[in-house]
Amino acid sequence: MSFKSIIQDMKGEFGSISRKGFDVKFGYGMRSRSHRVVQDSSVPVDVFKQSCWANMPPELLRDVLMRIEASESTWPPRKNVVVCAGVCRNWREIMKEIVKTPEISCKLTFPISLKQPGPRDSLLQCYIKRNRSNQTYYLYLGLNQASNDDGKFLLAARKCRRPTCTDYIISLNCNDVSKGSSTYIGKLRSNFLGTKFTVYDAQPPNAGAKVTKSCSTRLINMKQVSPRVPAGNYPVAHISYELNVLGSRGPRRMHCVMDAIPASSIEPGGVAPTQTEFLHSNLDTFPSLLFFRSKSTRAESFQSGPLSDQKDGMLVLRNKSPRWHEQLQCWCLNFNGRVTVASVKNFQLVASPENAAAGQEHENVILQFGKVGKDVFTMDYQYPISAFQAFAICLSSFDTKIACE
Amino acid sequence: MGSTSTKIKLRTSDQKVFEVEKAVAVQSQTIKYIYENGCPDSVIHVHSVSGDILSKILDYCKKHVNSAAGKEDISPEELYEWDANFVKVDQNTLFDLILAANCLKIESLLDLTCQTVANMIKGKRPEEIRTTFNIKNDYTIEAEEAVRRENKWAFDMLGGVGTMVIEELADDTMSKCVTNTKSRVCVIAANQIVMMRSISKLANKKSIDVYKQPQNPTTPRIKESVKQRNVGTGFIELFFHFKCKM
Repeated sequence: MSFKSIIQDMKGEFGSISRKGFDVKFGYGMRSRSHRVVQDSSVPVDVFKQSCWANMPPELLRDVLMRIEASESTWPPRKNVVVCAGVCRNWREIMKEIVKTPEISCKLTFPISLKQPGPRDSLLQCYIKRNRSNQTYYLYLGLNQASNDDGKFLLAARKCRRPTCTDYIISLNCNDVSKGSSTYIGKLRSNFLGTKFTVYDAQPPNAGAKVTKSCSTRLINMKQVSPRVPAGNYPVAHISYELNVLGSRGPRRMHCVMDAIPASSIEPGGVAPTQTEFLHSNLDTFPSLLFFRSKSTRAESFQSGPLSDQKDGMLVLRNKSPRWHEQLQCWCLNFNGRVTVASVKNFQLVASPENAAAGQEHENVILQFGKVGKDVFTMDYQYPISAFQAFAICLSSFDTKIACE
Repeated sequence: MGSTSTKIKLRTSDQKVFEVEKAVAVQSQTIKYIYENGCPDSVIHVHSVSGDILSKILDYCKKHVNSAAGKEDISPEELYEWDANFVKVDQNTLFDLILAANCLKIESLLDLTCQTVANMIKGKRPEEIRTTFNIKNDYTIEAEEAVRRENKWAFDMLGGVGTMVIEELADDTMSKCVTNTKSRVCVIAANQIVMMRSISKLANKKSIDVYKQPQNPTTPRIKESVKQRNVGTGFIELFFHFKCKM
């Protein structure tokens, strides 16, 4: 099939899509080509019976879905929102429009919420449980301020030691934390010494990034079941640990460069990149679309401006310097009650201008991590980092060998 | 000529004529607008509503007008109950009521009916929603897999609160891990024993609700014996043998 005829066919498709509010950012679904209608085999569909609900006016369907989204605001009831998005494509489009990103709504809804920046002006409270027997860490969203026993599972990470480095594989599935799994999200890799870490995302942080060759195969072999896009390794953050000027007698210094987030994001009016869908899921975006993506769409998916500029403008986070408490004879940081056990792993990250002198740092804590029990740690994060990035940064704190007396 | 109560005539799509008090009819913003801007004496056509549905709607409007005006001695709780019974109708009727409430612009009725539909949806799984509303599943195979993963994630909670779907129980796997009776099995979530069921009961069910506290009063005793026999991890493996399908 020639390139030209593919374009013409697609144009024909667009013409027939007359639904109001067809949103470009959800991708151009090649609806009648590569998809197969899956009937629920349990119900014999009477072809003569026209379902009345199929003719429900869109604004009424939207009203119903909005009610569900508004009433199910906490977990576990929030799973009903995810369920509604899984009914059919129409419902998914509407639900995705209704659900706002965590930045705006302060709520986590879909798995992709974990890749989106956290709320502005308020910390999202989560906690991490460590399972020493299987070297796995589980991240939960805290549901109950009082206890860390109620939580919504978010991510799982498993430590894999290798000859020259250590990897933490991060996944959406608490039972299957492996790189080959379809729920693989990214990983944290440490160097041999445990002083430098890199966070890798399985998919490009910005939707407009280059894709691998396998996508062009997908476009040509449209009648076949498309092969899954292999998970990539896109570095999104670099973390390093150093001893501070007091050597091992003082708290270590953390330095995080967020490759994917511009420094301008924390300034008034700044934005941070927000992923809208997992590329390998085929649910809303069609990666081959990048073939045809027009300039305007690219501008839409690039939510931050000068990301193409390399090293300048990346957000840098440093840990807030604790104060020496003379009477208690220890280093103290104010965790607002969220951390109760002293540990070298505890830290608070704030934005720090790259060339700033020591002590000249922002006050706003972007990520806070600390111990509250034997294998329980709290993690609080906010805009502009995402839950995935926050989790990965916290994992580095477990692994680093830099300690202090 | 002053009548104590003005009446308005309404003609439906199937040519039935209803004569109702103005106060009742103007619960519908549409009728109110037509009445105030059109000809108050002639009949108002409600094209998109059938006689049966309009009759029900007028019942609703009358009940609410009377209760608000104090003509009927009905408490708010009783009115709420009345409303709840009002929407206990078959799906087609409910659907027609929604459309009519929307077209006639009766806000409280639209609220009530939309909320009823929302309640019908809550707590169901995607396949159940599709069956109830006869919606076609138009996802591709890969997209369906992704939806499954997404839903699996949504149902994962700490403390075992949620619903677990059981499929393809392997009877021999279970019987290795049972406790005192060969036919019972413990279901584990988040390393806590949450309930006990007999295998046959599990096999027949499509899903079980998993609670934080054990439902079966004998479970605490079993938990102790499990500890003693050191079969804890065996049970956890058993949990992973369940093919948790969304």
